[in-house]
Amino acid sequence: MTRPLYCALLVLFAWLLAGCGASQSKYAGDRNYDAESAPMSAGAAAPMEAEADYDGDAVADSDDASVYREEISEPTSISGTAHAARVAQTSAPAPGAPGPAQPAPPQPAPPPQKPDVKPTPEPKAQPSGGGGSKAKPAGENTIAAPMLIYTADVNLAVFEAEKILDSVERLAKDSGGYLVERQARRIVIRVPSQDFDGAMLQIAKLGDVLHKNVSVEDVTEQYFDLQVRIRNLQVVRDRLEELLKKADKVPDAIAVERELERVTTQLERLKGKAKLLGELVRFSTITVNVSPRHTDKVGSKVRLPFPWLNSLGLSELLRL
Amino acid sequence: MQKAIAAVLAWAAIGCGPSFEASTPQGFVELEDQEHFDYRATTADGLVIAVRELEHEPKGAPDFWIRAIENQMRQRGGYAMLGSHDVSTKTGLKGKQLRFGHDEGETPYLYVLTLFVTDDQLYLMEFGGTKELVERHKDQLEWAVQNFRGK
Repeated sequence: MTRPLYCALLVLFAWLLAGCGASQSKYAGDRNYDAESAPMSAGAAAPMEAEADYDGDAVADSDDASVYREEISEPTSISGTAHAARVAQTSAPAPGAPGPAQPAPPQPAPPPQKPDVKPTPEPKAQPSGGGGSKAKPAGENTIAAPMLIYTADVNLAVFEAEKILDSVERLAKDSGGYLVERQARRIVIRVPSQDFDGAMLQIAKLGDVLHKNVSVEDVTEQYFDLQVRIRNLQVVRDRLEELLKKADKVPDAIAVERELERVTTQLERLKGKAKLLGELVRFSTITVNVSPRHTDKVGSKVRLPFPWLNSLGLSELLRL
Repeated sequence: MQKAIAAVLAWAAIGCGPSFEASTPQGFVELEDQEHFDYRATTADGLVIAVRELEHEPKGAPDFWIRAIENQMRQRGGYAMLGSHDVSTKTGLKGKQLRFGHDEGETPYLYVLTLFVTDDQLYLMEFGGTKELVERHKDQLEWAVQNFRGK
C-alpha cells in the first residue's frame, strides 16, 4: 500500500472513531441488532411501500427509550393529552449534529396519506408517522413533535367471538391499517397512529373491556441519534469511494474495498432499522384478546343479598 | 271444623298461589310441578319460557333491580349484555326486557329476561335457548310478554 493512501486511510479511521465513536458506544448493544428477531419485529411485516420514505434508524433500544405505560382495568377512554404533556416534558431536546460542520439531519418525509384516513382532531403530540417528527435546521436542537410508538392490549368479554374478531379486522382495514395476526381468541392489528384513539374507542364498543393496557414509547432520541450515525457513515462511504478511485495498486484497492463493504453493510443495516422504526411510529399496534366471561374471575365483585339473582341464567332455565 | 279447615286451605290455595297468569305460546307445552319456577313451558327443541314471582321486599325502584340483574349476569354469570328495551303487556303493565348472550363452545345462546315490577311483586319472565331458536320464535316470545298478566 502506498504511503499517502495508507495515511489517508488512517486519518479516515481516526475521524470515524471520533465522529461515530460516541454514538456507537452508546448503542453498542445495537450491533447485534437483527430486525427480524427484535422485540418490535411486528414492523417487519409492514407493507414495504410504506417504508420507502424513511431514512432514519430503527434501533429500538428499550433501555434508552422513555416508556410510558397506562393500565386501565375498566372501560375508560385514554387520555391522549396526558401523554402529550409528559412527552413534551421529556422529548424536547433532540440530539443534534455532533459538530458545526455536520449537515442538518434529514427531515423524514411525510408518510403517504391515504385519502380515507382522517387525522384525529385531538391536538396531542402524536406524529402522523415518521413524517410527524420534523427536524429543525442544524443548530436548533429541538423538534416539533416527538416520535412515539403506541401499543395497546385489550381484553374483551364478548358474545360470538368470531364476529367480534371480524369487526376488529374490518376496523383495521377501514382505517388504512392491516391485520398482523389472527387466532381463535386473539387478533393483532396495526392502525395508522392518528387513528389510534378512534380505533380504541371502536374496539371498546365491541364488548365489555376487562383490561386495557396502553403504552407509549418515545423513540425520538434514538431516531435522531441513528440519523447522525447514518449520515456519518454516508460521508465515510463517499470518502472511501474517492479513495478507491485513487488507489493505483491492487492491494490498496482491495483494502479500501474491504472497508467500503463493511461500511456499506453497516449503513444498510442502519437504514433498515430506520425503516422499521418509522413503520412502528406510523402504525400503532393493537392486540385484542376476546373471551367469554368466567365466573371465577369476578370473586371480588359485590354480591347482593338476593339469592334468586344467583339462579338466573340458562343453566337453571334449561334444566328440564 | 272440617269446613273451617277446608276454608283455610281454600284461602291458602288462592292466597298463596301465583298472582299472575302466563299464557303458553303456540308450539310450547307447559311443564308441571316446577320447583324453582312458578311457570315453565318448553318447545320440543328446548326453547324454554319461564316465569318467577318474587316478593318485592325490600322495595326497590325498577332501575335498582335492572341494574342488579345486569351486574349479576355480566359479572358473575359470564353473559354479554346485548341490549335492553321497554316492554308493555296488553293490560298496561310496564316492564324492561334485557338480552344477554353466552357462548357455549361454538354455539351462541340467548337469554332474554323481562322484569315487571309492581308494588308487591317482582315478575321475572325468562326465555332461553340457542340463538337460532330464540330468534326463530321471537314472535311467540313477544306474544307471551304481551299476554302476561300480573296482579
